[in-house]
Amino acid sequence: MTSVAERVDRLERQWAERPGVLGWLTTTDHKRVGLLYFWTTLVFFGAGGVEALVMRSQLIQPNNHLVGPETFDQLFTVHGMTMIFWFIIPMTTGAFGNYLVPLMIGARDMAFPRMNALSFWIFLASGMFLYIGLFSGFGPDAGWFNYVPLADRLHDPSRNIEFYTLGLAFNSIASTLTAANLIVTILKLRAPGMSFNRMPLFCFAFLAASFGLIFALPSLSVDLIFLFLQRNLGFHFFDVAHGGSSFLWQHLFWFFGHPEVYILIVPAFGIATEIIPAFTRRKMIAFPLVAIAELLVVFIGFGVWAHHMFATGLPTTTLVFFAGATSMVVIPSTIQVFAWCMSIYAGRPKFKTPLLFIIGFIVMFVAGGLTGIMFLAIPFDQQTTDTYFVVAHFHYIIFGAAVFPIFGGMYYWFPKVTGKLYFERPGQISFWIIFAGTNLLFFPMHIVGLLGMPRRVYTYPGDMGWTSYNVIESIGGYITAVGILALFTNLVVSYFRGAPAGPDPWHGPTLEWSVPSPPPEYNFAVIPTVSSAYANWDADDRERDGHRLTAGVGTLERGHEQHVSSLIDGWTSEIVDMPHSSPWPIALALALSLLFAMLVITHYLFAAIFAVVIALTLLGWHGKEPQES
Amino acid sequence: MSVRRLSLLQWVGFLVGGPVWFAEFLAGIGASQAVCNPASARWGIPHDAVQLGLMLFAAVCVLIALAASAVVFRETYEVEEQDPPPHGRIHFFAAASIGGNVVFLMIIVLTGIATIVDRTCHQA
Amino acid sequence: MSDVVAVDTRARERFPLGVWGIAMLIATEAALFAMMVGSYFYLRFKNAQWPPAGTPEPKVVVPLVLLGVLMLTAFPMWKAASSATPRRWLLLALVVQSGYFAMEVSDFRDDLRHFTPQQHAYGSIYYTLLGADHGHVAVGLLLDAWLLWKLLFGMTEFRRKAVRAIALYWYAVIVLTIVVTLTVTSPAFAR
Repeated sequence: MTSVAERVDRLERQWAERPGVLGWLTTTDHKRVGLLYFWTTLVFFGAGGVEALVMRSQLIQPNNHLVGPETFDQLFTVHGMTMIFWFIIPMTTGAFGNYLVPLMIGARDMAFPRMNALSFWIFLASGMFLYIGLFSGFGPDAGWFNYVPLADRLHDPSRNIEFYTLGLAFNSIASTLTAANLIVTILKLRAPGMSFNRMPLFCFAFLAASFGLIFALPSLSVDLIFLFLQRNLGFHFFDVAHGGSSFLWQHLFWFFGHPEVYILIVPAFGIATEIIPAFTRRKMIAFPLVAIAELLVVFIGFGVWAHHMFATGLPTTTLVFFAGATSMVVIPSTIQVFAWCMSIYAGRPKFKTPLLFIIGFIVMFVAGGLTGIMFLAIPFDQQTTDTYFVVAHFHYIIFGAAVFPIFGGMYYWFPKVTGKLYFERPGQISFWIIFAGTNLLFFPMHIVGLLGMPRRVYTYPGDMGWTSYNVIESIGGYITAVGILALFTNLVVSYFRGAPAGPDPWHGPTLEWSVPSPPPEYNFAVIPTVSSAYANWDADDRERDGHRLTAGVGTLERGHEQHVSSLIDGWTSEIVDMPHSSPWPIALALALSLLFAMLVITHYLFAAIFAVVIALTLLGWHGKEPQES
Repeated sequence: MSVRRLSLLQWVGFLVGGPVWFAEFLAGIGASQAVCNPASARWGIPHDAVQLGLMLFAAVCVLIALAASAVVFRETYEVEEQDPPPHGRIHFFAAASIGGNVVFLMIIVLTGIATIVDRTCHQA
Repeated sequence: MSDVVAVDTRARERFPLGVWGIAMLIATEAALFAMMVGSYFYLRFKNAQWPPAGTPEPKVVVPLVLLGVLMLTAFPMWKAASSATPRRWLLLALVVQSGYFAMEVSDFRDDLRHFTPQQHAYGSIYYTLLGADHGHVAVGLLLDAWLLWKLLFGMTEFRRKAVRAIALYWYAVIVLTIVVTLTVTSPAFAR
């Protein structure tokens, strides 16, 4: 009879990664892909942060000359693009989503492992594409939303806007692939017994964000294609003289752009809904309402886009649809805030660093949400649009509601990923520095915006009464930078010097805490059975898994095997053979990079040649078929 | 009530409200844009009548979905939210759908009234 | 070694993961086309004359007949997906779809002799929308050809799933083409 040790040994051999650098370049393991995303997004976060600090240094005093207007234009544009497309989205969906979703649902990998690796390499290549543009003096410079006619050939003739259109189009392929992968994984690879009512709220959040990406990104893609065709081939979508409309750019952009901001924060909601139960030692209050709220926020978010266009002169009979929907989209967010607060209040909270970041997130999110509600009043919006009041609002939301949970999540899952505990005291200190710094940085922006300071100005006169606020903001920026440095220093030192964490230092509620830290390549020696959304707290189930492991039931050791379940109720439907290491994802990403490079220098013939190379690469990708089950 | 019927009502409750609201929303915006743009204004679309019709149709559909969710919730009242499927899942979706459909109904009514009451094509 | 994971008899639907992947692709492409169709009508609302003066009205009969031909290819694709010997059904579908594509390319070139996308917004959106649709048909032809080549080497479980996935792709392309054709011919029906 096969012993447990022999089964585990067989699994380790089946799932072992190739050694060395080659192993990382050809990996399809969701954990490795998640880590690649994690480190790469941190580099882009650093770049976006440096851009922010340069801007704050330029604005620290009036009539400053640290950077000129053209450089400042590129800085605020690339800062916005980097933080949204190359930090928050890939950090949440690519890093947290990839690493944690399969573990939380009891799966061994994502549904499409090679496509997962492909999405990372495309993401990396698209970031390099954008920054090559920036460093060669062709950084996008018309703002992250790139309105026409400013972004049209007449007003912005050089290649800057091509780096915008093609860079974002390139990046959006990666996000679309990740979203598709997350959706199919969550719907089809859940452990036996994990019906929707027993799925962790984290997975609901990632499902919502992924559906958002699938349906919102195409609107941006259409906009980018139209602009590329207009600028390079003389088409006329946006120019009024030939029957076009510059509003069309705005409608298409914001149809993507508003769901995008919910896509930014909903995964963070998911992180919060896992940290709160772990550190309050109780289940989330109003579980079904929180789950539907996560879905509703993204869904209703598709109906509010023209609240970004209240100052464009559209008829009010059109705009009131958006004002009405905007007022109602607050409700699911509020449901969640109440559920989080009541869960903390009704539980037995342990105020460790992850929970501190979540409490900070709630405070910042509520503040940003309140200013958001102010904007839904059309007259108020028309007074404050394009002022620093807007900048304050969205930074409270994005930094508070997306970045704070990311930082909290880094601390929370650090023991799982590294097998080490972080140092708690420095962690709490880093939280307080960041919290103080971000409020110093962003709160005065409300006031200076109401005093009339426009956004996107590279300098300002000294007699407007804005100077002292800008000084405070810039100091706040430097303090925030110090706090972030402290956070990462703590994590790095903890990695080398931290105490061993064991599998479950927090007595966490979900399945990732039932496996060793860090998890083995195959995640679960036996596919777990589940009878609640807090599967790790169900001791009977986990004990039963142990017996099943001994008996060899559900170990799936015959190959690189994964269990597939039915869509609604999570009943076992088949066992499939999953791909292993492969060179095709990086090869395909390289071919795509060359295609986009040829497009940006308008060498269309070579672009067509690389399109053929891409088709041939796809042939190679599908050359080897999986083993029959 | 049989599990099959409960499940059907549960899906009606969960899946009808959102798409109906979104379709009415897009149709309402489309109608107001068609009325308020110079080229399409000559088509003579009766703005307020169209918006009223859309609002009433959508509201009725969402009310039906809400009623379906409420019936299922009441039928599965004794079921716990983490109970095994299908009853646990049915109860969960019914509870969730009640919340969702109430929100959709409010948006439909609010935006419908606002667009009818407002001066048609008045520029913001 | 015992490694029994029983398939649950309550698990009824059995779409392979590859079909789910194609479904995700269809969802995102449908959104893409919805945006382009929406843009078409948005631009139409802005222009008193559509098509603009000097631009011929869109043809109606030929596009609708060709559309009917493409819709008929759903039948051989469905037969291929549900048959144990899909090759001949796939070949039939590929031949008809290729004929459709050739006619559409010829029509496209003919249109370009009368007006160009660089002339006005009508031309821009007309050619972009049609071009995107034809592009999706072209990709479908390549997928058919790849499948036929694979099936020359026999039938496997993977290839059976691939036929189902590609059939689903074609159903979506047919629906897309219906929407696009009705959109670009709409000036003939509603001035």
